[in-house]
Order: sequence, then structure tokens, then C-alpha cells
Amino acid sequence: MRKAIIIGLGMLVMFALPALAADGNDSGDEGNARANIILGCMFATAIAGIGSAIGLGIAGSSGVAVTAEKPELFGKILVLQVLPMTQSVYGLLTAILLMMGAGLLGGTAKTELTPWLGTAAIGIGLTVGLTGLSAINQGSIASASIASLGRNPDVAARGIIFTVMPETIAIFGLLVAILLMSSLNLL
Amino acid sequence: MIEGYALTENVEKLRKIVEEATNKKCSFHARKVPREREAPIHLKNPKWAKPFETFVELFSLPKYNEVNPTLFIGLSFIIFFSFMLGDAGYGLIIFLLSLLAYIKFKRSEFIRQWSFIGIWLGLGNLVTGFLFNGFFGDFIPRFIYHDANKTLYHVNIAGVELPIDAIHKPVIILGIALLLGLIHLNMGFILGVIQNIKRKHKKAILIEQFPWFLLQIGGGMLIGSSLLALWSLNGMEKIIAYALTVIGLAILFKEKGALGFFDVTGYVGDWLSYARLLALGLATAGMALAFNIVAELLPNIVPYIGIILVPVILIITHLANLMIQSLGAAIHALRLQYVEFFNRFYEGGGKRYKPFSISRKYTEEIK
Repeated sequence: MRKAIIIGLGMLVMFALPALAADGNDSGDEGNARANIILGCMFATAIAGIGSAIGLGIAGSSGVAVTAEKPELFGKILVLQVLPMTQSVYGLLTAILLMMGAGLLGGTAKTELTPWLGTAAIGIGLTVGLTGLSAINQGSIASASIASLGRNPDVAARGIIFTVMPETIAIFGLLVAILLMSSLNLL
Repeated sequence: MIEGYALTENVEKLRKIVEEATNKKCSFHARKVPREREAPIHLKNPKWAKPFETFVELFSLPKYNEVNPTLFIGLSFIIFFSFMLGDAGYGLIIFLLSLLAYIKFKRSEFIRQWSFIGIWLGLGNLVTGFLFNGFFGDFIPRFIYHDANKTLYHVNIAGVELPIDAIHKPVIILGIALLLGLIHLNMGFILGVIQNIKRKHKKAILIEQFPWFLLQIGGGMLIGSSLLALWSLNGMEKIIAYALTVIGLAILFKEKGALGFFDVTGYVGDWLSYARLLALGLATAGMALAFNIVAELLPNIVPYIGIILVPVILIITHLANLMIQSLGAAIHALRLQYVEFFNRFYEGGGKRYKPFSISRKYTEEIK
């Protein structure tokens, strides 16, 4: 339920706020750059979101099966299932930072919005989005961990450690995006 | 005949107990462990570090002749966790809850031990939070100063401007994170040296750890000057740097063959992996910031009742963020120990020392 709230709020930020802020002066180069930055936000959240959704799906379906037999493991299984979620958090974070940098959340842009900057924003979005697909692999490890949890509840912690390994790739993606945004004065 | 293991410090006590129980109709022999490989392991740590033994056990207990890594793990776990959560507001919550649990649950040793660690984690986060300008994200500047671009406070100590604004100047924190990583990895190498001395494998130091010290110094000098342009080397320094790098590589390749190359890339990969300290810290700060923005805009989106919803939304979202991010911070702090730190020196594979005892669940006192 908590996750649903976060997703809901994320959606609110994603769709409502740019629409609110995008009134006026959307012509010429600046408007172009702004449109491309929105595309960057879209790629970051959407692709990472696809990864997380598939990962959560894979992990969750094993979770249901195991909790049917051992309902007392629900808490541990829930922790394992939400692990592929973080990639979409990274996507959301990137999108928000991009929006703040471009002044889409109200306020002024942190730097001059050139067409070049807009293209760069698409690159930043794709970096986080595509590395976020690691959530799918994380989902399959989480699924295996959940299945083994049903046999031996003592392996929970080890399963969690194994499961977070693919997340390193998404973290590197986020890191590259942050460093790029910092060097482009978008932060 | 009964055979078993006992701690060296308990031998005299054990002798007394056995002699009392048998009215001295026994012979008691104590000797040093004959085959070190088979001896079970008892970790000897100060009381406050006991909970961290769980982390060691999760990976694998050390062998009989290995160093006990518990203290190092405990210390770096607290530091890394504070870096990756890095928010004074969340630190305050963790600190207060742990303090409450510590005072309230006096009976349960388990809760007391963990809440003691929680107190330290909370304090660590208070420090990093104030250092990196995070108190529930940008809650204070946004809602109290009404200017989100201001920092929490502003001091200038000996030319160093504090706080370091994590979201706007991430490169400084990346530097600190990588420096911490370098210290952590080298702590691993030094423990490796100590372990080899303990096992009397002095020659192994030359092969296993020595080349890495050479490579780190030489390679670091070269990368700093040519790749990152941090400093420039004069003639003599350049020769030293090249010599150290070549000697280090030569020893490595001689021992491992072509696979030595992957050791070098593996080391660099392990080191860069500490960049997650920055990335996860920023994820906490960024999500908290996003929630604050939503709460700030809420009165404009929802008329009349928006104002009432603001505190509700703030509390729910920040609690959710605290839970998700501290889960992530804890797991990744552990991962840095298991994958990066243990890779340098640790083997593990010991069995736990289980003293002979009655195992009972319920005890009834008969009067």
C-alpha cells in the first residue's frame, strides 16, 4: 500500500506539475529544449519503471505461491519483493532533478536552455532508464530467493544480499546521470 | 571418554566442575587444539560489538587462524550507513526510537544490543545530515526560510564552507566517498598482511598484498597526473611512479599469469563501487526533496482542504522514504563489506563453537 502511495505521488509529480508549469514562452529554442527535457524525464521514469514493474511481477508471483504455504514468511518475502522497486525510484529522482533544473516545477531554469541541453537531457534520461532494466534480473534473483526461503527461512539475509547485486548497474547509471547534470549546471 | 573443545580462559573452571561432579574419580587433560582446521570458532568481541557478529556469521565465520573482522565491520557499517542515508531528520527519528527501545526494554538483551547500534546509526546520520545539508530533505529551507536554495546554516571553518550542499555539489561528496573506499580497501590489505604474519606465511605478503601497495601509489600518481590532471609530476617523480607500477604489475602477472589483468580491473571496479555512497545518499535527499515539493504545491492543487493535507502527506511520505532508504542503505553497507572488503583478505568457513548445554524452552520452578 505504501508503495502504491509513492507511485501515485510520483505520477502526480510526473504529469500534473509539468502541465501546470508549462504555460507561456514555449516557443523557439527554449521551448524545444524544454520539450526534449520532458522527453528525458519520460525515458528515465518510463524505462526504469518498465524494468521495476517486470521485476516486481516476477518476484511477486513467487511470493504469492510461497505465502500460500507459509503465511508466516510474508514480511520477509515482502522485503525481497520490493527490492526491484529501487530502479524506478532512481528514474523518478532523475526526472525530478531534470525538471527542477529546467524550471518545470516553477521557478526559473538553473541554466540557459539551449537545444543542445535538451538533447543532453534525453541522454541522461536514457542512461538511468536503460540501466534501470537491471530490475528485471533483480526480479528473477528475488524470485529464486523467495522460493528457497520457502524451504529454509534462514537464508533470507543471504538472499537479500544476492538480490541487490544487479542494482549496482542501476546505481552506476544514476551516478553518471548525476555527474552529467552537475557538469551541465542543471543541479 | 568424553572429548570436546573449551575456551582457553575457561579450562581451569571446567576442570573444577568436572572434578566436583565426579568426586575426583576422573582424569582431566587439556591441550592446545591439535588440528586447527577442525576447531570450532568463538568470536571474542567487546559487548557493544556483539550484534555485528550476526553480520560476520551471515557471510561465514572466520577460520581458526584468521583475523576477527567484527570490529572493522561494525565501524565501517555505521559510517557507510550514515553516508547512504545522510539525513539529520531521519537520523533524529532513528536515534529517538532506539533510545526509547534501549530504555524501555531493559530485560531483552537482544533488543538492547540492537537499539544500542541504532543509537550510533542515528548519531552518525545526524552528523552526515548536518554536514551534507539534509534535514528531511530541504524541509527547513523550503517551509521555514521560504527559500529552497538556502542551506540549513552557514559557517566557514578555516576556508572550508559548511554544509556541503549534496544535491548541488555532488562531486565533492563523490571525492569523499571514493577516499573512504580507498581507506576501507587498504584496511582490508593491512588485515591481510596481519593474517599472513599470524599464519607465518611471510612470503605470501610479498605476492598477495605488497604489489597492491606499489600499484596503488604508482598507479594513483600516474592516473592523477595524466588522466584527471589533478597534479603534475616532475621527471624524478614520474620515474618513481612508472617503476612502482611496473614492479607491482610484474609481481602480479608472474604469480597469476594473464589473469592478473582481471585482478587489476577487479580492484578498480571494487573501488568505484564505493561511489554508491554518493548515489544512495542523493537518492534519499532527492526523494525527500520531491515529497517536500509535492507538499508545498498541494494547497494550490486541492483548494481549501489542501492545507490540512500538507502535514499528513509529509509524515506519510517521509516515513515511507525513511523505511525504503534505510533498508537500501543497510543492505548496500553490508554488500560493501562482503564483496569489496572481504575480497581483500577474508576466507571464512569456520564452524560455530557451541558449548555443551541443556537446551530448554520453558523452565518451571518447583518449590
